[in-house]
Amino acid sequence: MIGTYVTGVLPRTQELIAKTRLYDRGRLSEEELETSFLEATKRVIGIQETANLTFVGDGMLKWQDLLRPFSEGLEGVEPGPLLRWFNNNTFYKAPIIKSDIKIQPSISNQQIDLLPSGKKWKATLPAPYTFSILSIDQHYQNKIKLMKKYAGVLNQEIKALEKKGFKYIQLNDPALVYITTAPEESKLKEIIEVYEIVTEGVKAKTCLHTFFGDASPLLKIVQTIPFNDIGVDLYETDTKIFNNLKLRDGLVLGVIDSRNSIIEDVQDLEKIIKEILLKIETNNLYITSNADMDFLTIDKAEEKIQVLSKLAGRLQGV
Amino acid sequence: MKKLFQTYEIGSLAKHNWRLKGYSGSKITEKDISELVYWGKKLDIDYEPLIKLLKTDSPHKRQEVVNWSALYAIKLFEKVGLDYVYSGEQWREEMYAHVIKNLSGFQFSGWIKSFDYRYFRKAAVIDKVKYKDPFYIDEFNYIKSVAKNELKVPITGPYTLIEWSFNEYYYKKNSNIKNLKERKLVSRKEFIFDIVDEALRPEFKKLIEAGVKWIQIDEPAITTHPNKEEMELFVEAWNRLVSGFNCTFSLHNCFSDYKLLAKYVSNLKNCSQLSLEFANRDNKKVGTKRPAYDDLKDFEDHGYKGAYAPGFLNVHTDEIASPEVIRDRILYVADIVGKERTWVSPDCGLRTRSWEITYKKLDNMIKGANLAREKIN
Repeated sequence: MIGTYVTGVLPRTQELIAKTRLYDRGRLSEEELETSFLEATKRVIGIQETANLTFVGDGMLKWQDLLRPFSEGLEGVEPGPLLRWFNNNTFYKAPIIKSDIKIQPSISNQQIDLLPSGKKWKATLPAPYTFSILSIDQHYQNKIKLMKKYAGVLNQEIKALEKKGFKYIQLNDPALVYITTAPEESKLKEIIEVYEIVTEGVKAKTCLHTFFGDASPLLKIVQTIPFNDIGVDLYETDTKIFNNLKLRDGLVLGVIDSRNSIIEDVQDLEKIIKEILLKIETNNLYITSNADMDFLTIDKAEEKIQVLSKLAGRLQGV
Repeated sequence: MKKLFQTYEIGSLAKHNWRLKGYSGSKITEKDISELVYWGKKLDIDYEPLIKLLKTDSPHKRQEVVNWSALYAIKLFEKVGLDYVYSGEQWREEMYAHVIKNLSGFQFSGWIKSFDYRYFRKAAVIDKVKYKDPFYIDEFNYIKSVAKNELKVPITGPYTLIEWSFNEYYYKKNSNIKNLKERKLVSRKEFIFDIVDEALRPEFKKLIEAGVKWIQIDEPAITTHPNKEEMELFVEAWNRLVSGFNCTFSLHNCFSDYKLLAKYVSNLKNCSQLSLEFANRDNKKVGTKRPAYDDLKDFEDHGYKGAYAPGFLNVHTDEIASPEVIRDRILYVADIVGKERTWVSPDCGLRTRSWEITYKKLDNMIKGANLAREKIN
């Protein structure tokens, strides 16, 4: 089968952006802002439904950055200085690890009341390596210790989401492949071992999604990665790696570029994917945006999601 | 001997409601008037003509409101005692959009998130970049006519302008290049050099002829792509931009990777000063231990010879650092780079803070600089 979904955070609508700016300047009440968030969330869910995506998420419009619900919601962690989000003109607040990490029940606040009952729901969370790399650790003083602790917390969060009805959990891990943060290949095994804590006892489908860097080193050890699917950014990954690649299960191809406003050509993408499919064997292929789409306006994101939908249609039966 | 620890603000201040509404033509409220009266009194400005202006429908109203707004900003800076002042970028919609909307070849696509509830308008370059209208010169001429203190003109640098735009035209133009990585780099080079040659250099020429002595080139985006090709592209664009001009140039860069930047700044020609952002990374306690500023040693180790304004005020919080904390930051930096090479500024423009907070922050920064001078003397 060929499935489709979007990766993580979708853009806020221009109307919502205007409201958040008013709110930020003290010219809009909390209630009015909440109403605007609800309206915008309905729109981004509607875009995914219209495009008939396999999995639908709430768009994560309230997430100020991928780590924020965790830096604000976990005990022992607080949001720290504003730092650049990889190689983008967007910023995140680095989590400061102050003491032993503990979790309150389900902190990631997905808007499940708005998600369509006839669709499978997907949630996106920050993966342990990226969380540990982007945190300022004043407590454990050891990345593996921090990762293990956070992996345990994440496991609880995933199970809480599972209970709410989520069928697909995507863990975003850009730091695992990004040029300045990717681990040496010799260290990958140790990191991946920690990831077994994340998926222990989880029944929902899981995906480790990478972007902003070349996933080739990771794909070399894909058999050992304890997730159903592995996601790669096709705009950063050397496609030679797909030659005779043996997957553990599913493959997620980030074919829509979330960081360029040019609308992709469906036929071009179809050719690229067909070439990859000649090289690999998988019964589970997903085509997605390479990264969070909030680098674009909602209108551009919508056009690109429609490309994704058309592309999936052309690829069915391949 | 030159005054030690000279002070300036990086660029932007928040815009008052009367500035925004007066410009857009929205209704001015009593509260807006009270705000301008409050600051008018505090800054010794005769505000009655401004009130009259806001109540009229003069064809020149929009520009006059902008002038008034710039005047308020200059007076605030002069009142707190900054050595170098400018308009608080009251003339500009925003550092990126202000330039782009005055060039041809671009199409705006809407607001894009920067962080939290902060956004910027992002444009796509859809045709060759060309100079359309002057975008800094009128602002400078007005400010020169009303400011008493020395001027420093902040402008947005070429690397940031291309990095914050979607590159459609130059990317499509090079679609014959099959290697996508190479296509991207070639198209970025063509884009940035057109920005330098077609847009910024013509404006620099006018500014310098009009009497500008110091241009601060704002490049917040320069370490966005931490690789050699991109950093060399930034250096090449800088050197091409400043080439042949008789003017002082400085670089402002914030929320960035300073270990990376340090490797390249000594290759910048005619870059007399670096304005950086370290207060955001520093602790908030009085004392001599300020390891956040230690990255300045990297700039020294890589041979940078200019001055530093490493950032002594965190601009992203309402918390107001005490003069003693600022003093200790200044003295710590002076120990690393030398007192004569230490200048005093906030991390970045203060546009995200209210004027009340801005005034208190800058006031404490001046007091902190005074305390540092006393300590040194």
